[in-house]
Parts: sequence; C-alpha cells; structure tokens
Amino acid sequence: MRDKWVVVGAAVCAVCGVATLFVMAQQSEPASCEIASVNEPGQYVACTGIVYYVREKDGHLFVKIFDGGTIDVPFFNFTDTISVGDLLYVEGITALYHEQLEIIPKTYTVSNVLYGVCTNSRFRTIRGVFHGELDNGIHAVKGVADGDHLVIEQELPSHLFVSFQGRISSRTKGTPSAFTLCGDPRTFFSGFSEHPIRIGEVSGFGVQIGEEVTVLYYQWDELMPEPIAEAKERPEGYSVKVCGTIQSVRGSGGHIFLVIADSTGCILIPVFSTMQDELGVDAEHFYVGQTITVVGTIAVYKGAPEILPDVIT
Amino acid sequence: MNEFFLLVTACAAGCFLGVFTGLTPGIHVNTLLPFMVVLPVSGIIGAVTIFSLAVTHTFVDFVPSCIFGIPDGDTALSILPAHRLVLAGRGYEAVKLTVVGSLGAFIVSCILVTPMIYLIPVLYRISYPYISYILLFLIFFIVLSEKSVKRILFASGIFLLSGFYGYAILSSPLISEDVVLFPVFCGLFGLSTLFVSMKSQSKIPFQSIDSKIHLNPSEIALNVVKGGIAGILVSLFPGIGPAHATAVMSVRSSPRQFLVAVSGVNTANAVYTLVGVCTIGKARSGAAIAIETLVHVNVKTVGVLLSCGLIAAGIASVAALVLTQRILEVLPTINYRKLMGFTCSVLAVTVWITSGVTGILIMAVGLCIGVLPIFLGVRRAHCMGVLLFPILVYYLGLTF
Repeated sequence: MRDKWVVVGAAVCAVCGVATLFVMAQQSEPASCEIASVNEPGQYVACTGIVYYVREKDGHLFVKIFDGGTIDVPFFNFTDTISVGDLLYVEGITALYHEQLEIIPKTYTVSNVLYGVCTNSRFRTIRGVFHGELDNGIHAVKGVADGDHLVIEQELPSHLFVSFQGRISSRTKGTPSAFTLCGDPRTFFSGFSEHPIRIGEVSGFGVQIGEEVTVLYYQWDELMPEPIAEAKERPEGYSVKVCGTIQSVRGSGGHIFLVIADSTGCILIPVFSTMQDELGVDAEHFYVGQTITVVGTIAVYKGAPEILPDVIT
Repeated sequence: MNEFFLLVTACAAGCFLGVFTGLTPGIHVNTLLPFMVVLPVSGIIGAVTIFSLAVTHTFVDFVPSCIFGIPDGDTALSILPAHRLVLAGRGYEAVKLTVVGSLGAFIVSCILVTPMIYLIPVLYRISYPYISYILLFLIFFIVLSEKSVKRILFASGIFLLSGFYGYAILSSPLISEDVVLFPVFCGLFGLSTLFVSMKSQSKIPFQSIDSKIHLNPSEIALNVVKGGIAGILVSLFPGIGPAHATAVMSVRSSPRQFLVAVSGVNTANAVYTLVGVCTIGKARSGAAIAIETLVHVNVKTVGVLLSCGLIAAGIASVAALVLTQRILEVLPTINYRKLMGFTCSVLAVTVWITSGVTGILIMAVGLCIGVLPIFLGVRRAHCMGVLLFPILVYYLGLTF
C-alpha cells in the first residue's frame, strides 16, 4: 500500500514537473545579441543578419549570416526559400560543429531587402527604381512597394557595407559569378546572379568577409574604346577595349595571332586554341583588312604588351 | 622508433585522461576535447591521444555507475543490474563483466573493421531514408516485450511520460546541450536507484573480489558479439545512440548478460564512429569530430588508431579492475545509507554546478519518473523514451 502511494505521488509529481518544464521552455526568451558576442555553445540567442551565403544539400540548407560578425545557420529538412541578400532573424541554441559555432534555429523570419543607390529621392535597385525618402548614397531597406513608391519600414546600418568601384579585370575560375577588379586584391561574388558579369566598369556595394565581398548591388557599364597607343600604356591586368584593323593573321599550333592597328599604333592579340570555343571564333573567322573590336586584358609577353581577348566582335 | 615512442606516450596520456573522465561524475570525453585542442599536439599524435581517451572512458565509466549508481548517457541503464550485483556482494563481478564486454567488443570490432569499411556505406545508404520507421520499430519492440497487457500499459505510460519529459528539455534552451543529459540521467537512473535501494538496504555486504564470473563462455561470447554488432548499428544511424541500443538489448537479458552487452555497445561505438568518418564522412561523436580536424581519416589512420586503441583497451581493463578492487575493499566499511546519501549529494551538487537550479528541477522530475518502473515492475528501458521520443518527433517532422 505504501508503494502504491509512492507510485501515485511520483506519477503526479512527474506529470506536474513535465508540465512545468514545458511552460518554462515556452516562456524562455532568447538574448538578442550581435553575432560577435555569440562565443560559446549552448546559448539561447536571437540574431539578425544579412544572408551572404546559401548552400543546399540533401534537403538541408546551410546559410551564413552577417551583421559585422558572421555565423552559420543550418536548416535541416528545409522546404522554405532563403536567398543571398535576405535579412534573416533567427532564434536558437548555439552549437559547435567542426570547431565552428552555429545557431540551430528554433524559429526564424526571412525578410526581403532592397539594396541600391539613392539620388534625388530616386532609389535605384536591381528590382527597379523607386521613389523613397532617402538621403543620397547607398541604402539597404526593408519596405513595401506601392507602385513605384517605397514605404520604408527599416533601414540597415550603412556601416555594414563596403562600396567598390573599378574595372573588372578577370573572372575567377570555377565560380562564374565571381570577379576581381584591377589592382584590387579582393574577390567579388555577385550574390544575386548566377551569370558572370562581363569585363567593364562596375560600381556597387556588398558585405566584406575577409578578402571576399558578396555583392548586393552593382551597376555595370560597358568599356569605352580607347586608342591602341593608350591601351598599350596600361598596366598588366588592366582591362581595355580597342578597335582596329587586322594587319596580319598567323596560325601556329592551333593558336591564332592577330596584329591590329589604328591610327595611333598596333598591338598583338593572341587567340589561344583553348579560348576559341568560348570566343566563338576560328582561323577562318579573320582576314587582313577586317575591322574588329576587342575587349580584353593587357598582358606582357617578352617585354611587349598584348591583349588577351575576352570578347571579339 | 621516435614516432613509435611518441604514439605510445600519446596512448598512455589518453588512457590517463580517460581514467579521469571515466571516474569523475559529470565529466565526459567531450568536456576535455576543447582543452585538447590548445595542447601542443597535432596530427596523428593528437588523434591517438583522443582515441585512447575515448576508448579508456568506455571501460572506466562503468566503475562509478556500477558501484555508486552515478550515471552518464552511455551507462545509465546498467545501473540497476549492476547495483543488484553490488547489493549481492558481487560488485567486482559487475565491473568485471563490463570490462569483459568492452574488451571483447573491441576485439570483435577490430576483426570486423575490414568488411565493415565496405559494408557501412551500403548499409547507410539503404537505411538512411527509413530512420523514423526503424525508431518506431525499436519503440514498439521495447514496449511490447513486456509480459502482460497491464505491464504494456504501464510501459507505454512511462515511455510517453519520459518522452514528453525529454522533448520538453531537449527541444528547448532550458540548459546548455553539453550538460543537459547529466541531470536527466542522474534523475531517471541514478537518484531513483539510490533512492529505492536506500529504502530497503542499510548495509553493503562483503564484496567478494574473486575472478569468477557467473556466465558460461558461450553466453559471454554471444553478448560480446551482440554488443559489438549493436555498436556498429549505432554508428550507422543518425539519432540512434548507445543508450537506444542498450534499451533494445535489455529485453530478455539477465543482469549479467546485459552488463556484458551494454558495455560492448559503447566500446564498439567508439571504434565504429571512427570507421564512419573514414567511410561515409559522418562524425557522430565529439571524439570523432576532434580526430577528423587533426588528421585525414583514411584506412591507414584507422589502422594506427585501432592499434593504439588495443593498447589503451588493455591498460583500461587493468585500470578499471584495479580501481574497482581498491574501492570495493573499503566499501563494506562504510555505512551504506551514508554512502548513498553522500553520492546523492555529490550528484545534486554537480548538477547544480553544471546546470543550476533548472538542472535540479530537471533531475527531480527525472527522479519521479525513474522510480515508476521500479515500483510498477516494468523494465527501466522504457525511460529511454527521454531520447527516443524527441528523435522520433524530429524525424517525423512533428512539433508540439
């Protein structure tokens, strides 16, 4: 009989205890904090950051966010959509995986952000141009578009972003959306687009993590043609656009060597066999006297400048 | 020669640390790993230290569990059968059974490593989509193995209560996940055992330190193989840990058979998490993750680590038995109730230090659930709902 009461007492206490734990769990609030202050596993935290990296694998989504610091957020068996540039609010418990801290999400909210440059209340973004009450300069805002008018709900602090401006010198191999700028050691990832950004003038802004910049907004302009003599003075790696008449065409080992000239001078254009498919040209494509426009990068071979072509038209 | 000396030294250091983690309540292998990272060891030397530590831990952690009823996640279910043997004056035999189980499973695991390197990726690929069904099968198997309808009902109730208890704790941020299982297992398996035995026992009988094991060799071999194979399966399935396999194995086993098998699961699991890293690239333990960061785990690395693991297993076996002898020599001279009271205090203080007042509440609720199977006459494995239920909920995509 005594044991019976022990069982009843224990069962009642257990049920009440489990209920209490449920209530406590529901009522526990996360500590809102900056990512940089998240430094140990097991913390219940709430962080907000810009998504700068997304990878999907086996139905799981692996996201990295940035608010000045960075942290990983893995979403297991995930069916929703999160894209680079979105603002992610995440509540969860921090855990250590492969020596890296990550937030295992309990709840999350994804918001779209418009990135762009405002001039005279005209806010130019990748999704269009809006009228908005913003100062001149770069902005990242959460808002609701009413026609071409933007009602701003929240603006992200501008110190999170780095601006860039320059001439694209090359695309990074294996990553079509990545490029580098002349003289700039950083690598730029065009987070919005899978398509490569061609050689040209580019300006914009993004978030910088180490030596890599995830581009959130950019404007691209075609290069203006310049005299061959001026192009030859450019430093190695500089991208140029020249227009000239073919003076000679020579083939060797499957490669094509063109010399083009304008009124200021002449320059060699080597079209290597490995590049011919990408450029859409072959030896029969060229003839002496033909006028062509070449966009490419200045290189120096045996002391003489030449242009490694990116586009020939 | 110089490298051989370094490897043996690393192995010895791992054994020393493993004895420390195994004997100290609330300290797990994972607790020491962050400190290992800052030590000036790297590459294969660091990996050998960590693997030896992990292997030794699986041998020695049964000593406090068996003798004092201090649980951790891997040994929790062994407490009651071991404690029964302690109260029958067979404490040394209890620890010896776990040592035999661990050593046997380690050797079985080493023998099976070569075929498993090829089999594990295939088994993993086939079984991965069916994890939730495998878990459901395990749960029904454990509950329905009770002998009468009344007991099945009790078992179901305890499983669900433990399950909701586990879900409330493990799916919430009440306590850091690093330490959350300690108060849970202290309550469910540690304090509940001590509480009930304090009620009925006032003195520890003389502990016979003899070499006799009351199991015949075929039963030992069968349970060693059982533990070894269960350890392999544990390393395969995400979400299924040694505790789950232990729960399944407690079905229709005598206490002695169970102790051999359960200890084998933990040791085999330590070996096969390593093989898992090598074959399917999945690190399912803190030690495996740490080793993966130090060395590229390939077949050759596994060979080196297993060789050092064999040395560690030998040292750990001797260490566990010698330590047990020393402890049991003084145990009967101590007042049982005072000892159990002291053990309960140590557990409570450790829980309070590691997880605060919330940990004490969690432990108290665990105690209330943990005494139910003892008084209702059903197996304590149903309390493993604390882990099985939240994982099942996760794999079925449910939320409450």
